[in-house]
Amino acid sequence: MINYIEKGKWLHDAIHEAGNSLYQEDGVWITDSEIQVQAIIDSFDPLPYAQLEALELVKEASAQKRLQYVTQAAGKDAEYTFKAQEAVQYGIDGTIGVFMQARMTATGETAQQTADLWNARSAGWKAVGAAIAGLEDKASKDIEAETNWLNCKVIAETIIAQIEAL
Amino acid sequence: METLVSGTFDNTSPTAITLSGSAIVSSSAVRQTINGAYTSGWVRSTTAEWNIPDNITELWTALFVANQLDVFPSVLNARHTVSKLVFEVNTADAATTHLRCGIYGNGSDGRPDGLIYDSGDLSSVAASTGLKIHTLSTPLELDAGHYWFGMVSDSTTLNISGIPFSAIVGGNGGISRFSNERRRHPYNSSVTGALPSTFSVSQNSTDTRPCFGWQ
Repeated sequence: MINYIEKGKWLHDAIHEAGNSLYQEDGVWITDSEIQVQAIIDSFDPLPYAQLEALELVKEASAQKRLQYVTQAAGKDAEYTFKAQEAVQYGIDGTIGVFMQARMTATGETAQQTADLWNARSAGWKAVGAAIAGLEDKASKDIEAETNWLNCKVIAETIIAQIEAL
Repeated sequence: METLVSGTFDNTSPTAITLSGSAIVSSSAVRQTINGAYTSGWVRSTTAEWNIPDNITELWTALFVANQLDVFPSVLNARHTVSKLVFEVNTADAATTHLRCGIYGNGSDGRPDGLIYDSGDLSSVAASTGLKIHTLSTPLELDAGHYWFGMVSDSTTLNISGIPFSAIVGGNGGISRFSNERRRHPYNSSVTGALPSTFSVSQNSTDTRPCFGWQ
């Protein structure tokens, strides 16, 4: 009779990858090879899999959060960087960059209005971006230090809740 | 004489395919086999690889919405005896107190209608991951036609392999089979306790919802 130990879905993948089967029919575990499958169950370590899954969950949540603040499109990263640089430069010496000029022409805003808007957006994104990065770092640190596989997802979900609350 | 009625069939993974009776069953999203019999939706083959539907390139997992019964359309092209239900637990939840599978008939309006089968509470098997098979106390003989297969649980932690909306609406096993627009949609309904004798549609499900296979 199989002495089943819960080790997550990855255990079942490992059993199948080994060419064996294990399923529960009407509450009874059934396998094609009790000795081989029991050996896999006993020796399988779910921790690395749980850690990887937890890290992926956090990564997915942080990516979703970033998308609330930045548009993911070709060239957008460079555009944001140029805009931030031009806004700062305007504050230093009054230089109007090409992105600033383009917006001023299109919208009729003054240089100061444009610089103020971009500075505010840049500061807002920096604060959120930094917070996300900090939480991601904390997640990696805590998840990688965890020794109980059952806790990995709990850690991830705690961090994700913090990311979503930003 | 048994005839494969439509779609494609991956027979590379199972070591043997033994069909019984005269029915070949076509399902909503895909036909696959487990232990030699056809099932609807997802399933893991006896040799352990996931059999992925023709139109899908990745696997799905789905959480329950607490006490929401999700049903998926399925077509039987011939009379068939259903003897077992099968589902896969990806994330267990020992605290679950309610998990049921059900089969509903199809109403004249193209939506799920009367209850045909209620598995009873299966929550005890939700405490562990893996493939779970529920044997019907009495095999259920279903005439050819349109049916709705669904699951409900009170857990929001329990994660079951599921079928996405897109596999039914856009899938080659789906859209060509369901002439009635209403039959292409998975539906859901708020349910606690035993399954209601008549399905009351709350709304369409538009994401990946838990689902079971059968043989």
